[in-house]
Amino acid sequence: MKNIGFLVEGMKCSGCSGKIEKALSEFSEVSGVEINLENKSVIISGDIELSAMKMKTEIEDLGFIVPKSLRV
Amino acid sequence: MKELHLKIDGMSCASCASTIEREVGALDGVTLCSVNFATSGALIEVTNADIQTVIEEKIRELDFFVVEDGSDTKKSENTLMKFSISITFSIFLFLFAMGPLMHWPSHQANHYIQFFLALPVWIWIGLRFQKSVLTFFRTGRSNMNTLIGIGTSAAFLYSTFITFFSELSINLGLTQNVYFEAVGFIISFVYLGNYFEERAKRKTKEALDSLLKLSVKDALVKRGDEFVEVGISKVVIGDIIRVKPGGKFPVDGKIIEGSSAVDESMLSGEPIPVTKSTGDKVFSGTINGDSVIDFKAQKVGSDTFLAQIVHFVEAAQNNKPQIQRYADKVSSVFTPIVITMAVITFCLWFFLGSEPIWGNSISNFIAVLVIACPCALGLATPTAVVVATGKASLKGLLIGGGEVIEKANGIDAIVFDKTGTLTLGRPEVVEFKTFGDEDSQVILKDVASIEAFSEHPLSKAVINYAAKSDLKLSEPDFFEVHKGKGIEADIAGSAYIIGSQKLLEEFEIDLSEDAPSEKVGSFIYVAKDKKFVSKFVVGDKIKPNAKEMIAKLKARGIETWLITGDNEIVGNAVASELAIDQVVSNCLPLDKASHIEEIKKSGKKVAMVGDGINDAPALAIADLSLAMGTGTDVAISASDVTIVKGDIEKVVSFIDLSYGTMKIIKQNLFLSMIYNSLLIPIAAGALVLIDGPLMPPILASVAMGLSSISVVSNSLRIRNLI
Repeated sequence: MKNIGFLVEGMKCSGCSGKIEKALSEFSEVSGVEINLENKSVIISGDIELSAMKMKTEIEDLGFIVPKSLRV
Repeated sequence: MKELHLKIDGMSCASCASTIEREVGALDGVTLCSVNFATSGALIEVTNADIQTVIEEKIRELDFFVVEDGSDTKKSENTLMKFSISITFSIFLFLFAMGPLMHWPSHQANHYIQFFLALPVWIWIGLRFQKSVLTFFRTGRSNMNTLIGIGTSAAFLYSTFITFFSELSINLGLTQNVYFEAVGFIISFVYLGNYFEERAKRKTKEALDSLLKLSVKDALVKRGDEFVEVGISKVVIGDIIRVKPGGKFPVDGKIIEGSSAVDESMLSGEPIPVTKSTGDKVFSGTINGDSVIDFKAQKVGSDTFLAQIVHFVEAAQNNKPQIQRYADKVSSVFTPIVITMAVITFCLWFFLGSEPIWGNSISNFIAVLVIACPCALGLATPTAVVVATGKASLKGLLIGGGEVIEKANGIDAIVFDKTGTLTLGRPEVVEFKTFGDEDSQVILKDVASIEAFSEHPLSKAVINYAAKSDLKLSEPDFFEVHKGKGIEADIAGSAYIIGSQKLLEEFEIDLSEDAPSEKVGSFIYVAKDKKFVSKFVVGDKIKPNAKEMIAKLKARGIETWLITGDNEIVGNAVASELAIDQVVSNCLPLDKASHIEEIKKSGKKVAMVGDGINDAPALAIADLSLAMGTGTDVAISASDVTIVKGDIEKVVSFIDLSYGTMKIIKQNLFLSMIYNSLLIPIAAGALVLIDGPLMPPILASVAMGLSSISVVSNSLRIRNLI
């Protein structure tokens, strides 16, 4: 089990977070996504070994910016 | 979104063009309309191709005509058609004049038949030759067409007189020879040559079309509190404009908010984006990288950088002088000589000849004009050009046509662009060093794994470099991107800081171990657990055969230049590594062009080799231009020659091929004239001095056949040139 967290810039409303949540749920290794709009965090739980890059790209393709990861 | 390319006829000035632009641009569904008066081409962008008929209707309403596209193919088809008709008539003429139908059905009727077979060839198919004879008598200017026109007209008119005024001509003592078949064959062969040249001519796109595609039609402009989309023509100086990631800057200006990596390859030719933030200048046509930028418009309309490039290329292309083709040069000397000789022949016969004075004088005058008309002249250049361009395309060189080969002869200096032309044009790790007792493979693996997350333009080079060593990359446990500076990350239990010198200094890492690098490029510093451990140099590698190519050009007496948008350090380093004669650095696109103009002013013929949008003005102004097929559309369409795979060594192949081809063309011109010239004395009646006959008409045909065969087989030798 390995969780990851991203700081995501550009999320403004629940619509934004919904988009990100939906996109990340497509990954089979993801078991849960927790988004906090206030502190711009996206915490992904599951067994994430080598797909952090893909997830980061996925979020950025939706028009957000991921400047750093969060220690979880 | 679709593009329509139309050719418009009937424009007489630039204001006609702007009328069309205005009226068509106002139509529903038209997003862009640009009309070029000089090339009579129009580029129209529409939302739906169905409205083409509406556009054409509008243009007709304005009293202009839309010409069917693909006129080049039409032209060569037209030439082929005329050649086919002409050669068919000529074969029949041959049958009636000297073949099995000779004197059939009767001597007189045979001449009538020949007249009717030759008439259309002379007056319809050969019209432009006859027209150029008239021009010659009016202005004294002559070219290949004049020579052909004089020969065929003299032959046709004389033969017609003999045919229709048989009795009168006998009374006058004119030789009863008709030369109708010579008229047919000469004109046919010239058309065959024309057809060859048109086929060899590569259809080039308009450089302006591809330049115009770079411009933006709409901009997000701040009106009140929000940004609204407005047409580019409505943007004024002082407007605040927002550019989204991946979008193009619509006008020139200064950033007031945001920071982003901007792709400025259009300006500098450099593929690595430049990080820009508040206060930095941005230019129209350059591409925004990864984040939103707000900027204030400072230059709009025709003042923007891109507009100036477009304007320059347009002006350079419109003012490009037509070169005088070698065959025309030779003909312009040969024509007056032939006429003089014919006149001398006339005078000699008139004052010294035997009875009938008038008959002999005129007959021999005509015989000289007919025999001197070199029918293979029309084949001399085209056959060589066809063989040369065909051979070149097999070798990865696309040559724009015969003029290009002739222009390439006498080039004194060749100017090269750096990035993408002499270098590979993509950032690569050229040096990788580790300090202390670190395992370089571990460092490389960790750095590459982290760089995947940084998205900095240079990071890709590191990842590619690591891929060569077949390292299995992992993912960092933590990362933080420091925009424009680098990245910090934790991986496999170590904390890394990777980025510019500035970033490492911000983290107070001691860089005193750093040694000056031999290689030129951008540096990436790596610190592991707060200790400086490694340095990467990312640069642009010089193409492997570039040095040899420069040496070969110098051996051929050609001066070499490097004119680059890059800085002096890089420019000088590349120039000295390749032993290039002259180097100019820090050049903006228009500077490149003005340097070329300067070299031209010193009396040299200059060729330019480039690949980028920033090279377009230089390519357009140079006497001869070559573009890398790996480069931008703009460069390719502004050039005479395309080096398909960007293999720089092909510059030498092209020069050699052009020299070789020109030599063959000169030989061909000699071969096409020598047989005829040798026969001039006989045509003049020299055989009479040794009690021989006046010229037998068969000799003209023999000369024609021999010279054509010689020319064609000589041209085939070009196949062995490269």
